[in-house]
Amino acid sequence: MRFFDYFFLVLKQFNARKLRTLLTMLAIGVGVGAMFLLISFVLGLQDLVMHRVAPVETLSTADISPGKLSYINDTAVAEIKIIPNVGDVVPIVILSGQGSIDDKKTFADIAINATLPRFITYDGIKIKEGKNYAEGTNEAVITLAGNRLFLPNASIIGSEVYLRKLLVANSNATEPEIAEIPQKIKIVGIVDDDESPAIYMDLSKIKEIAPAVNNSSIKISINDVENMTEVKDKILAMGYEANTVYDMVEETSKLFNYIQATFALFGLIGLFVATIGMFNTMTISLLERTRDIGFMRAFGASKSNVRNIFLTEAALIGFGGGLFGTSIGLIVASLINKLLAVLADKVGSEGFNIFIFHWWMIVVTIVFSLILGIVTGLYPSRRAAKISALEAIRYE
Amino acid sequence: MSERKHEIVLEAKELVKQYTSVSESQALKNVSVQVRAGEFVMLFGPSGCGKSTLLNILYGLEPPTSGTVTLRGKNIFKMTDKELDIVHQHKIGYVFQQFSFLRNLNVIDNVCMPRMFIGSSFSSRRKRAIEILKTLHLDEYATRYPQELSGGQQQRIALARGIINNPWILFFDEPTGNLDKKTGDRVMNMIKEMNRQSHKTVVMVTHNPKYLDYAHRVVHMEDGKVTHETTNHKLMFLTPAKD
Repeated sequence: MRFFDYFFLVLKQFNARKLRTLLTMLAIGVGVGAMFLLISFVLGLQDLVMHRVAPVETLSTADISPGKLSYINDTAVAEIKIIPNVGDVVPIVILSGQGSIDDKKTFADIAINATLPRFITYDGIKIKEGKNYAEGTNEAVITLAGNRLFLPNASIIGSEVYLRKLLVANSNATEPEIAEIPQKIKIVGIVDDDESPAIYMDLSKIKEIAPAVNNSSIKISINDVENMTEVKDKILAMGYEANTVYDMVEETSKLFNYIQATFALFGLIGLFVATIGMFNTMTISLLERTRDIGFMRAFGASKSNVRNIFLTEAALIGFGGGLFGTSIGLIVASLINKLLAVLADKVGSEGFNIFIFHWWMIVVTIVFSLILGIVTGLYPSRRAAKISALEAIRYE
Repeated sequence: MSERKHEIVLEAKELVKQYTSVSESQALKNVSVQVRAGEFVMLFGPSGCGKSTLLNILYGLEPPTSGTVTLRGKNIFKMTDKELDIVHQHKIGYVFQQFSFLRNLNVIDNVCMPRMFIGSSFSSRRKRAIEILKTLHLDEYATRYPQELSGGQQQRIALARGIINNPWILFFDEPTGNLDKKTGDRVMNMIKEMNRQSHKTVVMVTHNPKYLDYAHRVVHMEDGKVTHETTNHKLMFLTPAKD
């Protein structure tokens, strides 16, 4: 018997039992589609945390704060720099002060983060408008909240800010360490922070005026995420505190594994029910066709011919279920993503996709469903192969 | 071929078929039958005499309790599954009593079915089926479903299916059983033609005495036993060689 003829016979059978075939495929499709949705939902959640809450650039960085020691001076910066596997070391001085863009007529309280421009990247801060400031210049970037503080309805880019009464954050000093920054700083970019009004400017400008000011914290980058723990331990041994996004993400990943496992379990239950349904349908179909099978055997069909006819039928039901499943999954996921985008747009926030799917998922889902079909068909097809021609004739 | 013409193609020796251990329930009691190449043999007897059981055993569908069936010298109950499949594919064509069609398939696909199992391609088997349906004047029904057709038409379609693989021997189980006189005559004439013109060996089971003179030889059965055999001298097929 030719390969094509198995499909020929099975398609004729499907044609004779259209509704039943469709419903069986749909049942498998709903099960498979649910699995597909669950996986793409978990991928969506993961993406949300990994890329929005914690951008990739931040994963290989650590924040070092004074901890038990009360300050981090430049000697400490040099000491940390020579720890193996430490890439970049970026100190930051956090100050609070007053700023004015209208020639000292009005002032607003604002935080001043004096650091190197690459801190913006390491911290995962997004530049919304304009560009990052350049090292060694009097350029600066401001948060969205800072922009609104000075100019509620317009972009502040291009404005020059005068800063005075700068006080190191968390210090006990009552008098400002820096009375003023004589040279005005020029805003060249706006970063995506809607909550705290702050300016990011070049560290050298502060150090020129107050060379003795201590660093509030240090951000370091690590050559390979693998070495994170080792580096972190060394820094802790030096008496500082170290926090990493990586630790948090690792914790979250563990949580995701649990969520994924729970979801997979629910999906499997659905799939199991669908498979039982398919098994039942195939068994009924087998009983109904005892006579047909008997006649096929009487006309020279071999046992393996009969078995293969049923296996082909099971495989095609599985394949059809896979097609239904991916279609259901894709449609539902797209609809919910669209709906979320519309809702996000209404509240003025940036939308995100809660369901993420890759093309390989479609292929894997269909192949999985096909295999599921074949496995489900194993027993009915073996039973079918055992039917003898005599049973058909006794039927009469 | 001519030397082989009258050789014994199918032989049943001392067949006993018992369904339970009670001896009264013996369906066949020591039945021996020989069928020669080109011969038209009828197994004749009242219903329940065991003739259909005999035909099923000759076809290898059910094993006898004792005795042997040989096809050209080979015991069919000692064949492997594959060898028996080949017997059913190429050597014996069985034309069942009605309702032996696959309902999902139309007439031509039903006729093609045995050819599908021997691996013939879709187009070649269809071509052959059309040829056969044409000779039986059934080509106009090719795309209809068998269950939509009359009993006589179904019987002829079953005949077409029986001969599509060009077997040595044709088995018929009550081919006129449910047919009216005119249709029955037509079907019987077709079978006779297969035997006379195409030299097909025919073994037919019937309880209808009307068509006995179509056969070269009639095996009379009663109560699971062969009572006697009659040879139709008018047809002069052959006189069995005396051993």
